[in-house]
Amino acid sequence: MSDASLQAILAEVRGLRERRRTAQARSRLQDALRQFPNNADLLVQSAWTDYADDRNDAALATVRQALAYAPDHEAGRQLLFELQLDKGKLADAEDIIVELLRDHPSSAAYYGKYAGLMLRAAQLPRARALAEEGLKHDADDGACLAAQTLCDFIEQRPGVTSHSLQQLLVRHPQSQRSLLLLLMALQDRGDDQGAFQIARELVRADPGREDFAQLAAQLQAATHWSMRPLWPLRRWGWGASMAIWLVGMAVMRAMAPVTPVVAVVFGGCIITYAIYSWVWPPLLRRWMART
Amino acid sequence: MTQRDEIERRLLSQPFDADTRMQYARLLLEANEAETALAQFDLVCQQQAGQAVGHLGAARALHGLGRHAEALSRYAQARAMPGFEIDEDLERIESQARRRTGPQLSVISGGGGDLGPSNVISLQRAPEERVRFADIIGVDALAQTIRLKIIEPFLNPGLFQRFRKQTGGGILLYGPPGCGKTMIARAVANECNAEFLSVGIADVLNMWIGESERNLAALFEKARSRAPCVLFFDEIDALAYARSKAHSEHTRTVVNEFLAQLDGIGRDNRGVLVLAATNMPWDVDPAMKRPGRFSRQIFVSPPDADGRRKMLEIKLEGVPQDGLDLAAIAQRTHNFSGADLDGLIELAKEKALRDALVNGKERPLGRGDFDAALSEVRPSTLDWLRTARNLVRYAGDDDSYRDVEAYLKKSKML
Repeated sequence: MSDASLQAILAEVRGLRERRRTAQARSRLQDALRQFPNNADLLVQSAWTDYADDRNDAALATVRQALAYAPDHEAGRQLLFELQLDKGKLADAEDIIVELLRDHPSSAAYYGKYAGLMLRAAQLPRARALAEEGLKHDADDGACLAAQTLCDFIEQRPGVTSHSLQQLLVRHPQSQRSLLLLLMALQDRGDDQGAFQIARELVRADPGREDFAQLAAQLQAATHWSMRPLWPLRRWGWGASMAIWLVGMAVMRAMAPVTPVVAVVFGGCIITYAIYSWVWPPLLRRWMART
Repeated sequence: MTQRDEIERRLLSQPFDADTRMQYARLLLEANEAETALAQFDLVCQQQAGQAVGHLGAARALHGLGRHAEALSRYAQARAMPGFEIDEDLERIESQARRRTGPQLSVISGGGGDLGPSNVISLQRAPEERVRFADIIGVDALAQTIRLKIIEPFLNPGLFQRFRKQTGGGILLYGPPGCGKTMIARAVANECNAEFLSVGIADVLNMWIGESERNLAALFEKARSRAPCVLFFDEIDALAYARSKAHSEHTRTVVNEFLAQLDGIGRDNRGVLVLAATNMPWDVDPAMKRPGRFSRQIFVSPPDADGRRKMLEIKLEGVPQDGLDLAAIAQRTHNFSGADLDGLIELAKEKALRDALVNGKERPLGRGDFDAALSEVRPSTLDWLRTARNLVRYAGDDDSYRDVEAYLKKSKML
């Protein structure tokens, strides 16, 4: 098999994988690997195909075999990074990404991946610094913009949030990552209706993803008419809860000497509201998930 | 704050405000950011389906990017929609394209030289067996729909024209695997008395730059030269994979070429009925489903109880059996596809044969064999139906999946 036909097989496998035809890609690779069992490119593609099918252990074994033949294989090291990250071995993943950055110091994508890793390790300042560094190399890089937006979310910097998210939505308006971040921003703002619409877009794009469907179910429950009275609690959380109690108690105390009956009814309403806010949302969510 | 910043901020808080998005897309186009503008116009098209304004903008953006064939295709699409406005530049290009006579290929000289008959790749021809609707079990209602929507317009275009009923465009058959989409397509070809050309992924996809597009163009060219002809694309989601999900430029260019061929700009697609089948309609590029392309989508569901009973009768013909209540088995195989029923019967047969070999005494196929087989087999359509349920429940407000919704309700899955 010539180098050209090997390249054609590799390109074909990548194309099949992109179109979710992993079984066909695997069979193509098996044929090629029978001829070239030690070819690192074929082994790495085989590992990526396993990874696409969530067969992470098989992917790890194959990529290690590939890296034994070609330790500097870039796509192999990228996959090893992803696998270590998925396993939660953050220190090992960091070693790999640092090596990759050493070899490709101007790659914004690697800075973005490193920033994502730092976010998982709750190292916000380092994550932000890495994302900013990556954006110096490529202002449109999706991973860096996403990492920066997540930093903003965590640090609660609403003004900056909108800027990085804005850039992400301009550069990658239809990517799942952008939509998920927009959904978070809308939820953060208490706009459950808008967030639900985004969740529907996500389900439309990938209806096989159960996590998207669950997210949509949760938001559907949150936007149900019977949840409207609970809006202040959903919007401002514990703050709203405490405020309602304090105001309620104060009003009740003020009313008690003047109109005790009304005060009792008012107190009953407050308690009913509290029970309703506590019991109804989980019941509704369960009902929504079942129907 | 600049106007652009202001619009971007507004879009962030109101992502579904189509007017603002339109304003933003125009602003980007004026700033010569055609690629970004195109993405925004595509979003407008999604938000305002059926309006010309988004498609017009997309056509202008594509023109700005130098992708003229695609620009013309979008412009032609916009022309059929309300709110269409003439664009001088695009009109000029369109008139130049019209001047070309006879069938032509848009993808030529990619690997050197035009596409002559020798370059046209050979197609998988249907075997000589003449499958007709009467031969397919459990599709009676579907056959009537297909006759009205596909076969009659193809055979009697004049009648439909007199009633001003829109015809033309392709048909997309979708549904769970193993439910007979390919066989239906074959039957359509035979009912239309047309040649049947079946195209699989391997006939088109080639990873050398430009080759897939050339293959696709050649396939359409061959179908045109053999009109009346049914051109059937199996697993169309692989050939027309949604561009918004694709990472590679190759995937996008294949879809663009497919769209150009379907629109038949500068060519004559009369006499060519394009059919396609997919298990994953949600992965097909939305542009493929617009009017004039695969605007008619038909759900091919698993067979109903009566259909399953008939299938069991045929598949068990001549097999020794003892008091099998096929209607009862059919009732217990809800959501089973034809392929699943084959699997079930094979398993039941294996059990009877194993007993015969162990006991040394032959016995007919009995109810117990089917009970045991049914406890092991689950319908392969369930995963598909669950995925479709997510789509119908949360994202099916555009009626694209109305038939699926009806089926899911009937199956008590929704």
